[in-house]
Amino acid sequence: MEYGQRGSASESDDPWIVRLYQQHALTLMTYIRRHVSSREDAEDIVLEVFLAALQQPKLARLSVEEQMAWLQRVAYYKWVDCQRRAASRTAVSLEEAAETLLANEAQSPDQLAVRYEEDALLRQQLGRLPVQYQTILQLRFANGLRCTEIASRLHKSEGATRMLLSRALNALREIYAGEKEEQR
Amino acid sequence: MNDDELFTPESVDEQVDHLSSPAQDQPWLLNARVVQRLHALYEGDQRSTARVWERLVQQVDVYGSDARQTTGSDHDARHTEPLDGLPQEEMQHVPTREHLSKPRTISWPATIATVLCTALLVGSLLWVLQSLHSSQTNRAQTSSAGMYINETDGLSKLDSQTHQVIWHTPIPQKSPNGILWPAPTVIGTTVYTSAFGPLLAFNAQTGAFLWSRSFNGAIIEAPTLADGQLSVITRSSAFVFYALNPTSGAIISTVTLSMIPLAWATGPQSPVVWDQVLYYTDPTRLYAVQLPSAKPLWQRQVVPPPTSAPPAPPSLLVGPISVSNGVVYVTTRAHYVFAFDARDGQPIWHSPDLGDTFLFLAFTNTMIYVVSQSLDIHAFDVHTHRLVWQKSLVIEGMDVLRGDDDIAVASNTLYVEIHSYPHSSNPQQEQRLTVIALNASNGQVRWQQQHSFLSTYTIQGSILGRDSDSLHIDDWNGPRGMLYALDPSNGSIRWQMPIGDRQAQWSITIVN
Repeated sequence: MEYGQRGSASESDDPWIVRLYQQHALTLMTYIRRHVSSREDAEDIVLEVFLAALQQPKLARLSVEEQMAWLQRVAYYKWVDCQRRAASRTAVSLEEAAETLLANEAQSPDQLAVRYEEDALLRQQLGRLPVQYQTILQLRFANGLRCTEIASRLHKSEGATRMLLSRALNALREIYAGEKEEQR
Repeated sequence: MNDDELFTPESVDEQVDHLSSPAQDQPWLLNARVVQRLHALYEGDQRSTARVWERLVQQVDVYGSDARQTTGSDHDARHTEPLDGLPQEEMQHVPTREHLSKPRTISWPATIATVLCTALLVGSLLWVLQSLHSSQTNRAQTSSAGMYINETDGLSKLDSQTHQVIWHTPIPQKSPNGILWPAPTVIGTTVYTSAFGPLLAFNAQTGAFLWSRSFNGAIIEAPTLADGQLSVITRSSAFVFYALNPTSGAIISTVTLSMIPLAWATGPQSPVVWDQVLYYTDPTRLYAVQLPSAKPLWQRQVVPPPTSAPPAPPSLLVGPISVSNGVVYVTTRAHYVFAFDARDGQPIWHSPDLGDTFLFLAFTNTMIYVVSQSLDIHAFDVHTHRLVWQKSLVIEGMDVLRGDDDIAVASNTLYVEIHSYPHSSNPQQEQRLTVIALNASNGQVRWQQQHSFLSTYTIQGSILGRDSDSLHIDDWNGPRGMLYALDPSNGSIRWQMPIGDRQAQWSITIVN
């Protein structure tokens, strides 16, 4: 299935939800993380979105873009719900917190805090880039595609794809360079 | 290879590969920092996605067991095949570095078929429909009067009084089982529907198919008619404005407007067209673009008041854009409503801190009503922006106002639709839909009606327009929906009508 084409899934394609998940979950997660700083909340939202999708088998017949539009719309509602629940959320117990920390022993709480802060900053910086830069960075770094594959997916020439990727990376590089200057 | 030179098109893949190596963990080098941070960021998202998948499988197992109890074993055994049985090419459709391999190793729960086969579209809709003043009803509107309903098998027009079908037409170029989402739009004697596909035009009096027009991207706003041209805005990777001949559907002009990195596709940040100007936002700015030329008119950074505490987060603009009386209103994550002059973007007003992230607006010629997700209502004078009254609604349970289409104001009555539904830990708990009618002048409750139903998800809800003497509520619970017409003076049910079918969502527009 290519971008913009109508889904070819039929009733006989049993695990349509699997493909829907593979096609969109990471993009949706990245998208939601730009709006929701808490990883746990973002995971809850993605889970609820796909639980809702399970009730809509006809999603399989929509184009990739239409599917994403539907998922984003539901994600918005779930995000609203999440904000609402956050107001009445009870505190995490010490035991739970300890479990979480122990599960990631490689990083101290301080290191985790720095890491979260850096992630949030990078998401913010990515959000300022043009959409096509964001898309190409995601395909390169999240999907692990090389320029030839990205070019095929985006219906662009390999040269144009290489140009876009290098510009996107240099744009981020400039942001980091600016920060470095400010720190001096 | 110099590790800190600019990325070049010729060797960008090789540079990334080289810098991706753990041995290149040299954060003082800019290139290494960029590449390693990007990897770390996306790998974090991939881990999250894998975790969600595992939880999804667990949840589906639970729901599948429940469904089996209620529906028996009449589902198709094909759906019980394990995930591992997928063809390799299907599984590799979107290759990723790690997360895609995880779902492949998880056995698909045998019971998911039950969910796929028996999951019912549930949801609830509230339509409060009130008519335009009869004195303003022109001949074209009268001839178009009726209820227009999108269903899976096509578009129907029903008599508003007798509910008899006046005409029904199958949707051309559309699968009989296709999803229909947006409500039809009636302009003059033509009814338009997009249904996530091409824009379709029908004769509102006869149902005769007139024309269809396909676009690259989904239509994000109901078409509007201005200066004799039909305006449509679509979104794919950018906003594209189309001006169409309303008679033939021929494209007169096409303008690519802008890329909007953070806007939700069809969510609260959808653009608004008013008086041939497109207004849209990114996380911190409001933009105005002249149509159809796409000439930028102005942009305005929305800065929270210096007194705001705690300081506002960087992504400010989260709410819908509204235009009323030549003023553009936006809401922000920092609890404020901002007003700008629609002509030049000059700031006019900002509200006091309204204490909630999500704020939804409704307007009359004299008042602005701001309803927060936590159900606090503030009524401001539209000219002086003086606070006229405020009120907090208290409904027991997890109550949510879902959007600005959950509120409507007409005939000096403010209608508020409130979704009360269970916590995610108990999805089988009963859900409720409460409609409250308040005196728009002073906030006193006129009446309150509650509808209870059992459903797992409620994903839609809206208040569409005006009807002369009825308040319409839709309750979608299970295989069919029910349209209720309520007495707007007390909320009692005047009549009810089954609607929809077993397969799809439906939508309705009522024209008086």
